[in-house]
Amino acid sequence: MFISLLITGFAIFVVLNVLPYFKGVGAWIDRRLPIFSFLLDHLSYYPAPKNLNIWYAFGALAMVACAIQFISGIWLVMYYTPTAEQAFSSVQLIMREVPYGWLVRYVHSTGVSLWFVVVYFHIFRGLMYGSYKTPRELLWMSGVVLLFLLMAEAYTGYVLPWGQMSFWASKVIISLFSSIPVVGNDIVVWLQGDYEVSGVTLHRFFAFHVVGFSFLILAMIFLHIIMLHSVGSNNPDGVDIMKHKDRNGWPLDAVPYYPYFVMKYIPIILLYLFVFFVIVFYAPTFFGLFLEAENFERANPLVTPLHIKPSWYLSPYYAILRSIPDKSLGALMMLMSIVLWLFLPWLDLSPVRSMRYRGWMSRTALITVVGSFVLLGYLGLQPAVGWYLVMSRVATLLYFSFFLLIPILSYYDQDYVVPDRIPER
Amino acid sequence: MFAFAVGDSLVALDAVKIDTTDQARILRGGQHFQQTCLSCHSLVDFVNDPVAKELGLSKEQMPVWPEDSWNGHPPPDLSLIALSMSPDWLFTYLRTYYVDKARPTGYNNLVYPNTNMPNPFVDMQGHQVLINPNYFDKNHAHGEQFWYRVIKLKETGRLSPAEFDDYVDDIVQFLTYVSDPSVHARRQIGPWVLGYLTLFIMVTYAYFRLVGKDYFQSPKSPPPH
Ligand code: HEC
Ligand code: HEM
Repeated sequence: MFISLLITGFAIFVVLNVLPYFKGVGAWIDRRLPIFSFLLDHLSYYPAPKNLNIWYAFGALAMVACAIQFISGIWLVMYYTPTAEQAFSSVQLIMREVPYGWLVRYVHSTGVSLWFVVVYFHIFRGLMYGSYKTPRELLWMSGVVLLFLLMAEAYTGYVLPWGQMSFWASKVIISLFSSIPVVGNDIVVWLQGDYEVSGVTLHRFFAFHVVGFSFLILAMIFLHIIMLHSVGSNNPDGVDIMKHKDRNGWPLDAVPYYPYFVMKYIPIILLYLFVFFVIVFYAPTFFGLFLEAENFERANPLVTPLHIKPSWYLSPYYAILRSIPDKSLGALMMLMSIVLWLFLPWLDLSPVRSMRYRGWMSRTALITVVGSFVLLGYLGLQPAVGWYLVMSRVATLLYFSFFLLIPILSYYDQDYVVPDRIPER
Repeated sequence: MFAFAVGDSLVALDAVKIDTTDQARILRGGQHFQQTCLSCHSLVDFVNDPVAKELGLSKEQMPVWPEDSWNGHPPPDLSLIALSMSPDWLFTYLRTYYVDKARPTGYNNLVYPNTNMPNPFVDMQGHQVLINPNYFDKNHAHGEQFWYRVIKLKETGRLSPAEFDDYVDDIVQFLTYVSDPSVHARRQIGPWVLGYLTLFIMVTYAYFRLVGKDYFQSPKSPPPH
């Protein structure tokens, strides 16, 4: 796995360093298929603000995480059988009989969770440095769509091992579609392919997981990068580097992404792989958080588990759903908890991007929404009773109040003066 | 060791220390399993494992129960039991049978109340009896009390209490291995992969510190093109 990643990295390195000088064949190919100039444009000629910090490694890490899922996923599909009778035992076949099958499966199951960790940090970076603000509105929105696709991909994948939680969690989520007016019930039947969640549903979700959402994610990442590279990266100071350019049109505060930031981020990517493999080798279930105990039991439509709970990365939304007494309204709010992020670029009225130069009001708003999200994540894994329920209602309220308050707070906040150039530190 | 999976146990779970490197103990647990459990429980996913071969376990020995046998609660396959429950749960479950005339088998259990599994250890453990019958009335929060506050050994069996704990412990070690035999390969490969990555991190980081820092100090913009 990681060997193939290293080889890929090495190949890119060689291509970048050797081929531009390799006038004959390289130039011949490039005139017909501009692959080398494409790489050059997007790595060697990409002006990256010189103050990009570790937070800016998370985008690259998200791409690494994506690659890991695709590579391990291909190997899983070779042995996995998407039928109600065979699915559960085919996973055990992979774990026990296929040589290194356990490695591939644990890499894939650890990979999802860490992909979400990375993406949540990536989003936090965007919020902290105001990366959603003009001119990066569409880039931000493509990110929100990516988050949504990632959730759909994770959810359809979670159903595939056909354990108890696969079955019951899919039942709960599918039933939410029935609260859509008029067409709700038809959608449920279409999704299930049956009047119940059954083997047909499993096969359908297999198709969505392996071909449907995964390709949409790839396409969306591609657009994400295109958008990023046409408007350029923001930076921790939120300074617009395009204002000051040299005679060649190169921003004065920028350095080429390759080799400067590649050099800086490769140790970080390796550190990510280190953490990754500590989990794979020494705590693959991660104490029941990455692989839940209930899902080691074969799906049984006759026995409802004690607590139906989602994976940790979806639990904040689940907590919102449960904190609202009305199911249809709950489903709507769950959807809104992501959709509202699409409007953030227009809700935040401050002229300043980075939290480094923003006043206490905006900072408090950010801490509140992040804090309540984390709290919701914890509560979504607990039974919805007593204090847990009360707390999840408070947290839901806090979470949504962010969207109401941010226009006001950002308008009246006392911001600091943003420097014209990236300050030296 | 903590796990998020616990059934509706009425008592707190004892902790058991799992040692996946103790091969002799895993084999011993396997032999105990063959003697006391295999008549009812299968380990279907496990049969092709080297340890299963060493124990002489085969698919033909595994019992197959129709869905409606045992009043609709046939003995389940235990290939994944240590993961779907937990080693602690197993260790406590198997040691908390007590005499209860109201049950068809004559025994009840504190960790899995009203279990349909007959007490497999009568001759080894002896009988435990309830010493705190009011415990159930008070509607305790689940798993508040330790089992020895609720039941007590009245009549010792063939094994002493310490020997019996060891016996069950062996079975739990075995079942934990059965749930995920990849543990051996993981322990073997793990240090190599992590060592290799550590080395690589050090080299690339040193390169960044030595060469990269200079670049940042005096960045060169690329030639126009
Ligand atoms: C006489 C047959 C019999 C023997 C021998 C037997 N069991 Fe069981 N076991 C059962 C039955 C029946 C059940 C189902 C209980 C129920 O669902 O209420 C069961 C359930 C279990 C469960 C709970 C599984 C679950 O998912 O709920 C475990 C664990 C278990 N047995 C372990 C063992 C072990 C370990 C041994 C050997 C020491 C053993 N059993 C010996 C019949 C037996
Ligand atoms: C599959 C998931 C994703 C991948 C692979 C990905 C990839 C990337 C990469 C490589 C970058 C450039 C490097 C960087 O700035 O970190 C980037 C930037 C960015 N991404 Fe993502 N991203 C993903 C998800 C998201 C999500 C969910 C959001 C927001 C909701 C988002 C918002 C942004 C923004 C705003 C930027 C520009 C940041 C800046 O310039 O300051 N991305 N992304």
